[in-house]
Amino acid sequence: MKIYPFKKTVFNCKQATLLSLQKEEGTISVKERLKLFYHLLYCKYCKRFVKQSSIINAKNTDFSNSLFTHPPHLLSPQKKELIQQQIDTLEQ
Amino acid sequence: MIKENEILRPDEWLKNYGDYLYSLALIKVNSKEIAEDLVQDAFISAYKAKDSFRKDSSEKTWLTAILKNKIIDHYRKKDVLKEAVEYITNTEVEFDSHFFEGNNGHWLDSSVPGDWGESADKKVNQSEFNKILQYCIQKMPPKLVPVFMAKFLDEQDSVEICKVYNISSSNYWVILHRAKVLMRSCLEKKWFLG
Repeated sequence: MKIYPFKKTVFNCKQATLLSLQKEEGTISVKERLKLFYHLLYCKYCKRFVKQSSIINAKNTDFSNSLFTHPPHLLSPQKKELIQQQIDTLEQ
Repeated sequence: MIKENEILRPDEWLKNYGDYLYSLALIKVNSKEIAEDLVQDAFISAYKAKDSFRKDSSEKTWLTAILKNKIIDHYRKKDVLKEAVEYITNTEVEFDSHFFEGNNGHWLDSSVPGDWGESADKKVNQSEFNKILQYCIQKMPPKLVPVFMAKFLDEQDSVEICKVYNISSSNYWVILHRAKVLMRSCLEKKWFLG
């Protein structure tokens, strides 16, 4: 692995990526924000991680909709019938 | 004018939402049998509570919320989140050895995030992507899935998730971080650079 500048003083990629997730939610302090900013200046891999994480996050609505429009799993006909029967019983 | 989504049509629930709710449950609990039971439970509860349906919600949103509550009850009953915390503790060394250098926490050469290229944004708009996403959730260690899904799909914030699932903030972030690192890596292999 290549040598990162400020290896000893600036925290590492494992911590930086965790902090980047906290930053997505806006729950980090100014000090942590600066540390992260500094790390990302020098670490292109973590920079990619941050960008890719937001690409994944942005897919949530579409993914959720796809479960409705194209459900990947099908409830068995027997179970459907059973549930329908139970609902019908309640209805009476 | 009465909008269609303002009324309940219990006769069509199974047809309209059965597979959708089942898929959602199966992804979240990773067991066909439990998923079936939760869906059944949700429909029955919904039917019994149909007078409390408010017209400012859609039928789909309302049913989804009922199912999600059933799933959370299930997690609590089974102590699923306690198991998740035990899991991250027991597997920390193994996880790190796949992604980060032991002494300094930098990315391993074999696991550095790759360049997804300029078209990554467009590539996620292909409908096939959702299948890969679902595959990667399935490949994730099941114990990480509840927290990942609460954040990703239900868009709950950390405070809310910690409270509902009764886990500490630091454990929450470790679980979410682990899930995200695995998810990113899986999508890269199977989709962006696969």
